[in-house]
Amino acid sequence: MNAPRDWLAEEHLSVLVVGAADGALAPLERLVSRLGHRVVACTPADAEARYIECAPDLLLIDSGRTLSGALHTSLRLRALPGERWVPALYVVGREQEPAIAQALEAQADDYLTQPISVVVLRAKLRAAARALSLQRQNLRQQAALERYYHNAEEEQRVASHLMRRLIQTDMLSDPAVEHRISSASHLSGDLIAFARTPGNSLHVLLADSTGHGLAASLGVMPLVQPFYAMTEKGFGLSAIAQEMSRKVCDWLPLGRFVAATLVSVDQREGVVCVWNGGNPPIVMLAEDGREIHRFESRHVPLGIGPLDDQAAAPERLALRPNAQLLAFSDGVSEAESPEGMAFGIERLVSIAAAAPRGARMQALTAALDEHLGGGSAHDDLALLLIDCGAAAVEDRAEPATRGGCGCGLKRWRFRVELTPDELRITDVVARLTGTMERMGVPEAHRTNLFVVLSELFNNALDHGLLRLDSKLKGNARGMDRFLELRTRRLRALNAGSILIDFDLDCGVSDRVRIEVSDSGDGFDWRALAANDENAAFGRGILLVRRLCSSLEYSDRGNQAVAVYGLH
Amino acid sequence: MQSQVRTNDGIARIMLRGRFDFGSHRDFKTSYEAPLSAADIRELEIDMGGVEYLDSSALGMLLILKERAGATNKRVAITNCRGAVKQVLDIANFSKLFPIR
Repeated sequence: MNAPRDWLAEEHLSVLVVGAADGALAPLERLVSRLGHRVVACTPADAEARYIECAPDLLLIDSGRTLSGALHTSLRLRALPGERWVPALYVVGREQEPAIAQALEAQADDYLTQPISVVVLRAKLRAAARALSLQRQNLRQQAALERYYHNAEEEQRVASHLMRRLIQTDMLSDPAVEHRISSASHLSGDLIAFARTPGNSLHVLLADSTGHGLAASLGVMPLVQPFYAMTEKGFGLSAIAQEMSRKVCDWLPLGRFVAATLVSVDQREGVVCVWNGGNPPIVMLAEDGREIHRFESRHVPLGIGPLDDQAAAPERLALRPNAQLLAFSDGVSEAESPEGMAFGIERLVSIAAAAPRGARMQALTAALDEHLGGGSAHDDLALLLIDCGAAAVEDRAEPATRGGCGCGLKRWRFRVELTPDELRITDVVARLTGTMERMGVPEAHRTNLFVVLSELFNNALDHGLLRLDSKLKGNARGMDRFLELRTRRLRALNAGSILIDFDLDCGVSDRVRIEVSDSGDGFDWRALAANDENAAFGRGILLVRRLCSSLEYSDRGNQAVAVYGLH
Repeated sequence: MQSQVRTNDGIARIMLRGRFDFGSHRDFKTSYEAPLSAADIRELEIDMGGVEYLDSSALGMLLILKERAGATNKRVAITNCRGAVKQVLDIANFSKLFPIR
């Protein structure tokens, strides 16, 4: 936009001179015209018509013998529609001066006395021009501001609709998760998302983007798609964190980043994984409220730099029976009371700890509302309570899920041998399941096949190659030890391999044969298989048996063959 | 937020006071423009001694400064962090990005 030209200050005003035809009208017209202004002269009777016609910048009203006539004229003109302010200059006789104060209060903006001094008239017109110039500029700015405001409103409306659809907060539901989210403005820079993997692990994402409002809200968008898509395919936290990091680095400008926490709760394996980059700690509470562990932020937020394998590795901990995980954005811990006191992490934890297990979220939100004292928070708030209780979820994988084959392929088979370098790649099973998907395995069977393949694969890796003892998994401390050993041995693994043979027959026998064998010494599969469902380990094999029409181990236990029916 | 800059022996010490948040963009930028373009400055020291509060927008501004300083071979250090300021920098793991003294 060009700078507004200050044309009024250049003294070319359009002036409407109103007066009686037999009075000072003609001399006034000549005088103003000589000063370089455009003049239209008329009698009070024509004033309205002329006013509309020439849209003057200024009125010059000769009051004649009485002020009341002039007042009447300006009243009528000002009643005409229009937003512009048109100053009125009265020309009065000396004898009217005592009454002018009243006129100035009512309608007149300034006055001149007869006989008119050219110098004073010129000065007054200039002053009026300056005031007009300011006023016009004001109007322009106000109009611009209004346009801007309406545009912003509309943009906010569309953006918040889009964000709601994208994040689908209203559709978020999982029996294991309670959450509360509220934003400091229309749009929240905090994001909560959760979903289940094909293996029924719960994945939770808590993200907090720099600032708040539209820009912050846009900042969390790059996280949404990788989180859902990769969880659905069964990828683990490291791969998801790395993909989210890439997206945020690609999309967001310098100085904008996203603090993110990823949680996975795998009840079947009894493991909690947390990756925390830049959020307050996630606190694990025991059934009685005792604090078991804090998953502190160990990384910089997403969007500051690339995330290598080491930085993407989550912290793992064994699941304690009926434990809960408490997660929150810094908006909660830093929420200020009307007196300016922060809520504080310790207070949050102690309130949750003091409440009975089933009423912790309620206690926290009540305490937070009381702390805010009816005021609103400066920042977006996100609060989450994740229930790791065994009773919270049912396995999604069920032998009853049958959708027929219908993949169009008659028969195909693939074999893949994985050596230590490939085994260290995270999410081997998710990648293989992705291959199955592309080969056309019907959707109804994908979850089950993922579960079967991952159970057999994990057994082959943990017991066959890494020689880990399942008995360690008997209690939480042992489980922590198991996880630690697993990480260390996998890193050090330099020999051995796992062979996967996947054979699909569609149309004739309608079944998939999955063979997983490893180069290790085998393991005591009989002992594992004899376990009941309540044992801390061995549930994997039971689950595979339930899903498949048959499961057989070779004598040594380093080769498993499962047959899954596609009926 | 208010700022004051003192230069000594190639180090520009930028002392900040008050709330360092999204409203401080212009103040912060103004405070480092001169030292950033001075050839004899090797390090910009952001002194947080007088800062009561730091938010994520402030962290973003620090990252922008780091990037700009890097382009002219200058270092950025953060000093005198206490209380809430230290907590925010710790949670964001900024010690992996800046020397914090």
